[in-house]
Amino acid sequence: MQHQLIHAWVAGAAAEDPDAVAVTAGGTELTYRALHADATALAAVLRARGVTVGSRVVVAVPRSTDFVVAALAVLKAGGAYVPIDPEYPVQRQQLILADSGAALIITAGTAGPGGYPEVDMRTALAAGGAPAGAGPEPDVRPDDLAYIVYTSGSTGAPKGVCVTHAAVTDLIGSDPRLAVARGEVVAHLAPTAFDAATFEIWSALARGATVAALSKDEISVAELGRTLRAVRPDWLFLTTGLFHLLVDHDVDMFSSVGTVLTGGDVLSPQHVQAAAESVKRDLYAAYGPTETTVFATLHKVDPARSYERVPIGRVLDNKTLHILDDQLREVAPGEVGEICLGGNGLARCYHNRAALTADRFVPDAGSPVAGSRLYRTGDLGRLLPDGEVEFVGRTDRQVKVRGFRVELGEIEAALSAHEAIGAVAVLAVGDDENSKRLVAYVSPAGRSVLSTATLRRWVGGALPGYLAPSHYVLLDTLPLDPNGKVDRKALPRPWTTRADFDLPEAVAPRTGTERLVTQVMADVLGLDEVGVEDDFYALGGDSLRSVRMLEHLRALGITVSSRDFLRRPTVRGLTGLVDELQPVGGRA
Amino acid sequence: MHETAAEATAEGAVPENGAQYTVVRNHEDQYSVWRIGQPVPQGWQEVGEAVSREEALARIEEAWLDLCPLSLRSAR
Repeated sequence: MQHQLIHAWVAGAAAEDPDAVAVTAGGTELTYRALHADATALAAVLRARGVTVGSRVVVAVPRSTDFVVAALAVLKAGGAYVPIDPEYPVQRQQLILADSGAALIITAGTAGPGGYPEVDMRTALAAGGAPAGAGPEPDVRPDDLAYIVYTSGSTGAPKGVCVTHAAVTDLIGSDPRLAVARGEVVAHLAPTAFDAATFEIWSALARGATVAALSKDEISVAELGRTLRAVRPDWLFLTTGLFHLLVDHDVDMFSSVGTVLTGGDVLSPQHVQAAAESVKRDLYAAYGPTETTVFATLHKVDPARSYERVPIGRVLDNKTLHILDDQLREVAPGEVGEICLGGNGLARCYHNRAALTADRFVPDAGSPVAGSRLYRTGDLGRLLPDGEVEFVGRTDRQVKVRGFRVELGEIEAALSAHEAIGAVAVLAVGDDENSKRLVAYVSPAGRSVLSTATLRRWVGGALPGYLAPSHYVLLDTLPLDPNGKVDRKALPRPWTTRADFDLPEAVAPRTGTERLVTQVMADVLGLDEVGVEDDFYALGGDSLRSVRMLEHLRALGITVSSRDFLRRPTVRGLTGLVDELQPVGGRA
Repeated sequence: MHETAAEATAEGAVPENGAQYTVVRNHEDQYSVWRIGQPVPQGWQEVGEAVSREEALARIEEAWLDLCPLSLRSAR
């Protein structure tokens, strides 16, 4: 490529076909001509306000045409944009403003967090005309920063990952698997403060394609499915959690999409296979930390192949991948080690965090380029015989349970290989090593019915005993964080035993029907034991779980209305109804 | 694309028993740490004596004031 500046690529696309649509959002549309004009005008305003090469400018604008104009304007002015969600708590916004040392904050019709020089881009653009004092065009270099994305660390304050123009143009210009073509539509669904937005926006605008910014209000799967059918994107990135949900509830939607990329968490083999059959072009499992610029590896899913685990695939062109031990030596092929990434696309640093940068960006002993660096991801992986890489888990998700080193991701991967499982998260719950227990939170795929017994058998056949969860919590869906990953902190605390409740001694079931219903109720409540006189609601039951229990019973041929259940929410009450209404003696 | 566990080791300060490191620096004035006893990769130079990993990182925090690469600083 003759130049490695993001805004130069966009200017090139604009010059080639100024009337092509650059960005759509809901009902609004911006042509390349209009995008270029607005961003140029706003850049002049920014420069007049002191923005220059090396400046950081916070963009507190949600996903929209406005955001794209603002980000492009910052780049044209020579600065690095720092995207923040205006709905973040003010304290978090202040923290990022302070840490980034922002010169300015751009808003679009909403109030900023206060205390910083602010530019309302709508007012600025409505005023029109280049202000005096904008000065000469800035001399931006490929190694200058394009953006700073803040990611939360496992401990302490969020850290700003500083990404250069060269890293972004390398991502969008190197690997043929990511080559967006002119006239295509790239869905923009990622929150702007999440680095997947880098791919969604710049890979489109660098190539003369259209960014379709989806409304941030499309929260339900049904609405999202409808929107995607209407937009028919050629490219769509989905976080793992959202991908699983869409496959479960609206897999046909994928026939409206060209290429789908999904990643961020452990992918379920059934889900990727189902979507791969539907998708118009290709489905890729994607992997990549923010520190190496969005995507580092891709695996093209083969719908005909039967996966036990979905690999993360092969490293992108111009990047390198090594699996290393804790002394940065290559491990033997097939051994688990830390995934380390080198080559192009490495972030410059963590903003103002020299020690943290030095710790994670280390000398690259395997590179022919003198003085080059390698990023230690903190993720564990192994090299497969076919040269692809498998993601095994996170170094920080390794826990010790009863003296065993346990990789939670490994258990999640084993469980998600079960066809009835939609999503899974495994936690180690407990205060110390000896009282720690492994708890698996599981939601069903589509209309599948799960039971603890099935899951136990499955895990027993796949993993050694010390990796088997001692407890299962069956949920309709797992809670997701704003980035669409399983929100492990929002998972309910598991009640593992009936003894946790202050109840009289359990009355054991006598008949076959009672035993069956007791087992279903225990499964739904995630308890070791349920007495036939126990009140469902006193054992932590709620309306969602009652629906699930009645569905389980129905699947077993026992139909009870929710009104009847509410009146007598005990095993005995239920079996009384069952015996009255529909004897199931054959099952006893 | 996703957030990594980067901070856990850097700030959780997991002691590595007896392991000794040196501060290293490359031609772009970028710093890192390197375990002694292994050949220092091409293009990197050791700075100062062997210390613990934590101490090496603490020294870097003191010494590395401009995280912008040297060639870019010199170009302006």
